[in-house]
Amino acid sequence: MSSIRCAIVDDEALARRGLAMRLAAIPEIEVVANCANGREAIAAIEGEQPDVVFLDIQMPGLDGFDVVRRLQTDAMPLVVFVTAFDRYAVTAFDVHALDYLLKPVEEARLAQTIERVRARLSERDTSAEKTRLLEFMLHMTDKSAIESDTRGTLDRLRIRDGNEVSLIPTEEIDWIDAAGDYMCVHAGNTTHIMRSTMKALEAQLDDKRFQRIHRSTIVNVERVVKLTAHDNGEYFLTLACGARLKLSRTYRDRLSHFA
Amino acid sequence: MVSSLPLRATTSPWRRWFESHEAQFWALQFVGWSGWAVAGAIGWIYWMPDSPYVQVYGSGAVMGVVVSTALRYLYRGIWTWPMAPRVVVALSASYLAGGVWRLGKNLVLGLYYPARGPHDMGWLGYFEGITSSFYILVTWSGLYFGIKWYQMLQAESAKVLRISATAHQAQLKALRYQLNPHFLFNTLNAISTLILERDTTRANTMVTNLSKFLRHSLDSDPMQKVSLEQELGALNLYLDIEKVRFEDRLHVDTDVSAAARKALIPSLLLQPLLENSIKYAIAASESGGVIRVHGRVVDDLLEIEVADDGPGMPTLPPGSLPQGRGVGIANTRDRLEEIYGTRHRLMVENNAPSGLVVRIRVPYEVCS
Repeated sequence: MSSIRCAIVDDEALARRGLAMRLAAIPEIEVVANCANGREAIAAIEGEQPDVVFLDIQMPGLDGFDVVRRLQTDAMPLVVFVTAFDRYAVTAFDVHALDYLLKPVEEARLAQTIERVRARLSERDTSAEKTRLLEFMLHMTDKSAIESDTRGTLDRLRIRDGNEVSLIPTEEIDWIDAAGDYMCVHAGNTTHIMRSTMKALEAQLDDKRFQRIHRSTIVNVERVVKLTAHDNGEYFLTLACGARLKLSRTYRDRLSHFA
Repeated sequence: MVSSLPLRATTSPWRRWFESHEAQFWALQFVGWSGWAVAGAIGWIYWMPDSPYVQVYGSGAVMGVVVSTALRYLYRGIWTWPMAPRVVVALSASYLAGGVWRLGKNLVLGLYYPARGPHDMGWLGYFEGITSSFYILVTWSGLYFGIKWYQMLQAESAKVLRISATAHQAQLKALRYQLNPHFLFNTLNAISTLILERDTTRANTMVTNLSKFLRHSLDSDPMQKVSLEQELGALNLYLDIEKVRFEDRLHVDTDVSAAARKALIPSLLLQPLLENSIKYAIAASESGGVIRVHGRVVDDLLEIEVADDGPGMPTLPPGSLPQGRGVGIANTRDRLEEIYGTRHRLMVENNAPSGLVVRIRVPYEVCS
């Protein structure tokens, strides 16, 4: 049994320390990052690549949901939400089969969560993980995913939300990742969650500008500012917006596009 | 509830009867008919001092009591009838009762004055003077219905007053401060960590502060006013707890004059405003912020200010309430409205250089 690497994200130091102490009592657990806000969390998750993140929902700046939205599907750790009180969230967690912990965390419940994490890590499917998280978040925020409109052109993505059609210039898109039926389109500070398929979206985008770098990630090549090689043959791409994305070995031949 | 309140145990049965409608009826009957007898007898005493005025008016009054009491039972029976039939029945009954009463009076009169009297007119003579008797009983009936309606109106208006007072109380109860469960569970979580770390002194301080704050918020009566000093005491308990949670992210600056500290304000009025500031200015900021609570007396007004240096509201149209924070502020405003009516002001403004200021002005009252 290899040890499980976790990150703890909570804006209250006492809450972080409490969870860390409880995790320390469980064998084969390693806390690799302690983060006080969403910004730190994204940096730590991209850098440390933990197996599981204990994520507080209410945080200053980027909250727990923003963190999930901004993480690359292909680099998505398992997420365990930690919350003090929210009866609606608790129902939603159950509906979407996500694991969650209520503060103060009970040791026996935490042990159960760790068992569940171990089981999920063995049949790891990051896309399914992000799909579940997105469905849960749409449920919680009472928003629906907007529909992509295949009549889009190479320079504008048409997305339909009810009676409104927004036109997003494709040059403003930083990167896109797919999770099941959902696509997260990251443009500037906003992440549009829409219903579409990778195939339909790829057909609408200019392949000179947009390249596949992972099973479910497309990047705007003009936004890439740095390439970092990793020992296992993977690469990290750093974008102008600060996001760090993984490029898998399968797509190593795409590196020529960034040269 | 196990205990129950004693239900006006101090009122004696005698007093209750005295205050009842039954007692009032008999008192009025007594006063009214004695008055009638005395008024009638005065003329006889003056003109005919030797006449049997006591017997005549005494028996007349007693018979009056009897026939009018009979009318009372009839009127009770037809109380719910429509107006027109009720008037017809009341008039006919007054005439009939007037006849009976006049017959009785004439029979008594016949005992003392056999010479004059009804015989000349045959049996109809026994009813001589029926019209004046009818007038008296119509007057009696008018008074009966009038008093009855007056009593009903009084009961009705007392009921309306009671209902509006209950509605007012319910409104205030609905608007009163309710403990935020997030705060409670996050605090318990912090205490749990302190215990795991064996920092018993701080854990104990947190538990004590939390208990005091809970007691204050659970005990507080929404109708009751407390001094600003007491209110600040409760706010400090709350802030001390939040300071342990947020550590160096939370700074509080309190500046309240001695006169303002004595002022009375509705209890827990400032709590939701402070929670708002913590939620939007402290919890939402990575580096935290400062909350200022200022209080002073200007002329006969108490002015309180709760300000923060958070993001404020970029577009705050005058007179509108900021979104999200609106619930807490709207509740505070409704509460002030319930308690002070138009004699209060609540202003929400963007703070300079950033943040939000909530300013409250209420009449300056001190504990007597």
